This record gives sequence, structure tokens and C-alpha cells, in this order.
Amino acid sequence: MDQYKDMSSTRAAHSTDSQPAKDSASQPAQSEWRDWLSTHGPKLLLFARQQTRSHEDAEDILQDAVVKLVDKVNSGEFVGGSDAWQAYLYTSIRRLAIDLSRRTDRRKKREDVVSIAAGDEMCKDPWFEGESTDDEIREQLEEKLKQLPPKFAEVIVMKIWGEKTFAEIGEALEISQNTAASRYRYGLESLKKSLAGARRRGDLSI
Amino acid sequence: MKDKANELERTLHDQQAAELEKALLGRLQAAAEGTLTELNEDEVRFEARLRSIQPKRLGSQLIAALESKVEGLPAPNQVHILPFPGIQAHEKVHQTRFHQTAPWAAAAAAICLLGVLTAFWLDPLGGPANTVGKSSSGSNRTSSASPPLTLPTEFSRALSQTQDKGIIWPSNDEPHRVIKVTYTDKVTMKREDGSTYEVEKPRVEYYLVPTDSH
Repeated sequence: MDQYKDMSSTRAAHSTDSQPAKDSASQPAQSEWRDWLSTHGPKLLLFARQQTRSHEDAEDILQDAVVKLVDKVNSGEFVGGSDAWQAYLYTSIRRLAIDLSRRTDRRKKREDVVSIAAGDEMCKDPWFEGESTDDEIREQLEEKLKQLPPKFAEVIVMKIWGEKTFAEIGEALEISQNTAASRYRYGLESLKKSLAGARRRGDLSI
Repeated sequence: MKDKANELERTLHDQQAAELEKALLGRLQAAAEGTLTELNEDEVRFEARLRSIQPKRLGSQLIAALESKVEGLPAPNQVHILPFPGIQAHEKVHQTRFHQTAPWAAAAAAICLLGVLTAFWLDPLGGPANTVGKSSSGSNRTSSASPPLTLPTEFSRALSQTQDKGIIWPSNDEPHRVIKVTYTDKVTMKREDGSTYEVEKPRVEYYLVPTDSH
């Protein structure tokens, strides 16, 4: 405990340093945040895209989830270290997406709009990076993921691109890890079949 | 009417349930064997192929917006020590607000209580306690061998590490976060002849803290 107290005092002393030192201390943190956001942001945004119906909604709930995390950490309510932030963000994104779909009464209308403008939406805000030669793969994958039932697609997105374990996925989605594994394998099989159909038609090389 | 019903019943009876799909059968078998979370080679290969397609990078505007949201919060790479709930790296000691750090206070109080109880429970190694009759300056030495009659003269505990081991549902009703706390206990033992030796022992405690995982 004494050892811990000393560390706390040291951090408290550092926080009262003069302004130039504080500015120089904050600059490395900003660039590290940029690195962290550049690394993990795409995965979180992909999950948000899978959970919502539009790119704008996905960006909004990602920002809201980050705000919630910051508020919880700053208020001292967050239990756990920075290792737990990602898991919290995934859970937050999902809950915010559910709240969003319940709050707005435009789901049916949105589906009609999406079905008409699906092609435009995909080209304007694709889910995946792709060189021009891989555009078809990207588009097919995105389309098939959208066609999957959400409970399978969300597990696939979290497992493959979020690199979460089944236990972490289960925790975020409030299901057992075996249920997460079962949904993942079923979803993967479905995705493989639908992409295989596209391959037979000569659409992609996956 | 009755004949039609019987005929219908016979027709239905002759129907057989469809065989399970091979993939479903495989998953059921894996569930029964406890290997549901283990992917087969095909799945691993397909997974790797999908993973090679990267999610779209964040736009510069979105990154800037997110950076403004996290301003003031240490980046994850800078936080090396897991604090107790309620303690942040930049928090000033005199600004501690008890009502908002109650979980921290509860955790710290629990650890202090355990330390006191441990000090009482710690028995002299190998025998009952004896009163030291005369003061004699024994040499301090660290030894793994313990003589029969000893008394603890000093006790200290240092907190080595705290780790967040994740969330469990022990009763399936309420999530609990598992906090692993590692200490090093050091006891100075004094023999009858006045000589002393020290015993160091690592100690690991696991605390289940009720939490809202969201």
C-alpha cells in the first residue's frame, strides 16, 4: 500500500507542474491517442456499422461510446484498467445502437431507403479498405455480412476484425461463450456459402 | 370423417424428420465434447482470409472529433498500473471525493482488514509462542530452516501488482469483476536465543467486485 501511495503522490506532484511541462506532457498523449484510434478505431467503427443502418449513425454512436467511456473513467466509476476499455466500447456501441433503433421510429422507412440506395451507400462509405482490384471482394463481403442475421454478423465482426475471444464476445453481448462460438461458426459457415456462390459466378476470389 | 383423420394421421406418421445438416451436426458434437470454441482448419483458414480484408480507416475528421473527446485522458499505452476503482493517474490527493470513490474505499478497507487478520493468524513456525526472557542481540540472518520456538517480531506487506482478470458470472445473475492482487509478505521471526530470520512469502488474493459490465 505504501508503494502504491508513493506512486499516487508522484502523479499528483506531476500534475501541478508549470504550464509548459503540462503542455509537453499532453502532446505525447495526443499522438498516442491518435495511434490508438488509428489502430482500434476502424474495428470499432466496423462494429458500429454492423449495428446500425448508416455510416452517419455508426460514427455518432462511436463518438457517444467514447464520451461515455471518458466520463466513466474521469468520474472514477470505471472498474478496470485501460485493457478493459475496448470491451466497454463494444458493449456501449451495441447498447447505443439498440437505443437508437428504438428511439427513432424510422426503421421501416430507413429499410426502404437503404434497399433503394444500397449501391450508393456501399460506394460512398464502404466498410472495408480495398485497392481497385479488390473492390468486388470488399463489396461482396459487405453485402453478405449485411444479409446475415445481425446476431451472427456481430459475432463475426467482433471475432475476426475486433480480435475478441469468445469469452469477451459473450461478456459484451451478454451471452455465454459457447453461444458466441456457436453463432460464430454458424455465421461463418453461412458467409462462406454465400461467398462461395459469388465465387462460382466468378465475382470474387475469396 | 374418422377415416380421413386416420388416413391423415398415417400420412403424417410416415413423414420422417429431416436429417441434421452436416455443419449443425458437427457443432452439436463439438458442444457435447466441449470443443465448440475450437475452430477446425477450414474455419481458421477462412477466418484468416477474411481478416486480411481490413476495415476502412477512420477519416481525419472523425479522428479529430474523437481526439477532442478523449482530451485529458491518458492514452492507454501510458497507463501501466491498474488503479483501484476511483483512483486515476492525474487525480490530486486533496481532491478525493469519498462518495464517488466508495468502491475504492471499500476495496482498500477490505485489504487492510485482511492484512490485520493475517497478522493475527500468522503462527510461529513449528511451535507455540514463547516469551523472550532476556534481551540479547542476536544476529539477523535469512534462513529457510525454522527452529521450533519462534516469535514474529515484525510484519510488513508490500503490494506488488493489481490486475483486472475480467468479468465472471458466478451465479449467472450478477456480473463480478475479478481483481487479482499480489503482495509480498515479510515476517521477521525471533528465536529463543535472540537470533532472527526473515521469511518472505508471495501472496495472491482474488477479489470479486460486483460490477455493471456496461
